Amino acid sequence: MIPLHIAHLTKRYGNRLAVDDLSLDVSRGTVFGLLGRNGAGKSSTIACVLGLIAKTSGEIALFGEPLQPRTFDRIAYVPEINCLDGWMTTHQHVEFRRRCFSRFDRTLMSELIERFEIEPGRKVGKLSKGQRQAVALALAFAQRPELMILDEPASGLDPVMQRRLLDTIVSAAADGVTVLFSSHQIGHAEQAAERIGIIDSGRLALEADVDDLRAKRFLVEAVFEDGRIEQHYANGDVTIVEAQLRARSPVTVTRRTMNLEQIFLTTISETKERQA
Amino acid sequence: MIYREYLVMRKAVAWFAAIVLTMMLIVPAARDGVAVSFNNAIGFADITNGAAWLAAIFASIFGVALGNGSREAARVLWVLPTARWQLALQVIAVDLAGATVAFACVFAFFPAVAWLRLGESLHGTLHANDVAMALVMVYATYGWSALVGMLGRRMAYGGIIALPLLMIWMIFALSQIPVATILRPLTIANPFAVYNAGLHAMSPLQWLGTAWATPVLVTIAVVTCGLAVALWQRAQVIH
Repeated sequence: MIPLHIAHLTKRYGNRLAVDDLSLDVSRGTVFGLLGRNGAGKSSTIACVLGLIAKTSGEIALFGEPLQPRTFDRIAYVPEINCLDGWMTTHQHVEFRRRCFSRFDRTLMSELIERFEIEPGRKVGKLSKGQRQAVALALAFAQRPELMILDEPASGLDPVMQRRLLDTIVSAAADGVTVLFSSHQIGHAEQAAERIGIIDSGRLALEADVDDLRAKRFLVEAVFEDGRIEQHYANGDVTIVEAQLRARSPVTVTRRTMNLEQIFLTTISETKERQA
Repeated sequence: MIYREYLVMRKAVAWFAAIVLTMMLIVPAARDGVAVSFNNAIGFADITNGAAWLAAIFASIFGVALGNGSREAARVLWVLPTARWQLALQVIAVDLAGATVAFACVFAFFPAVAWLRLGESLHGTLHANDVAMALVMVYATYGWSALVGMLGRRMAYGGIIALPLLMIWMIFALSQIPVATILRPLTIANPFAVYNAGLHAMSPLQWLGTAWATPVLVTIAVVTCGLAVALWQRAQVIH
């Protein structure tokens, strides 16, 4: 059963279209990075998936059925804004989750407390922003969910903690956990995601495997005698683009693989051009 | 959810008990009040009444839990694997238990402080029906606070305004102005007015009858809590 299926999801806030006919499938054990600029519609998509806000239209199925309260026993969610009660200690949060989620793993939680260097006896409100985020993430992982939905999970974490988080995500996926995370930091998707979706202005502009993108997308650069440099983006058969450039007798033609950031920026600019 | 609300209530009751005890021991007016009352033979009825009003204040403050739980800042509660109406009932059950403990605290502190300060014991008889009426008045106040909190859930702690509103409503109903007489039947939904009518035979709301006060208060509590739960459920996308 596919953990997450979204078909033609649309969400409007009054006249503003936040999510526009978005369709997406996330298969089991996949780390899916939902990328987009601020306000692109990532958080609205996640909020619709989790039933935090009502969708305008479309269909969402989690594990093959519409969302119900009991489905949350299989899902862990970490919101973008930390919603943990600041007056509770980490120990109390652990106890709270243990009572709510049937698969909550205290042993794993203890390991995560060590890994994320959390002070379990302190009130969450007294912890630093990064530590609060670490507590939220540790609690989510300790639920032993089948699907994790993380909205900007690395926000507030220092580089060391970000690395540990990404390692933990990859390790969870290796154990069969499906992870959907949103981010506007391309590096995180590059390090952890197997598949990405780029949202722009509420529309899914691109959805593909990260390895496929790297293998098929190139930047071809030609340097001409008069010093002009032309860069062309090639999606798919790069030899056609190279042949077209060579026909104009350049001094050199160089083929470069694109990193995810370049792919992201190209996709966003292409979308803008199409809209224009 | 029960555990989280239990933590809230445990802390709240501890603070409430500490504040009430401090007031009884330190505040001159309260101290004199106890002394004067004792000189005039304070009875269990006075203690029940005092405990009822203080616990009603406590209940009206914590009736905001549902309204606050509907706000975006409480997203963690929206992803719990429990039916939404069950979550709401769990919150209400724990809060009402907390209000009962708060009531019992005041009830215990009055004679304890009086005995410590004055070395006197209480007079009169403890009537179970008085205690029951006082307690359900506390629950009905909680219900109104929960309902107002849900209606005004865009505002954090919006339910707190229920207590002053109920007070103003009761004072208005007890007044002698002509409009108050016409609108007086509506006060059957006001727990303070109904409780007052139950206590005082000379009350303008006596038409309710003392025997009816407790069932009416129970009805107010059930209806307001029920409406608050319904609104809470409606505020959620999934149920």
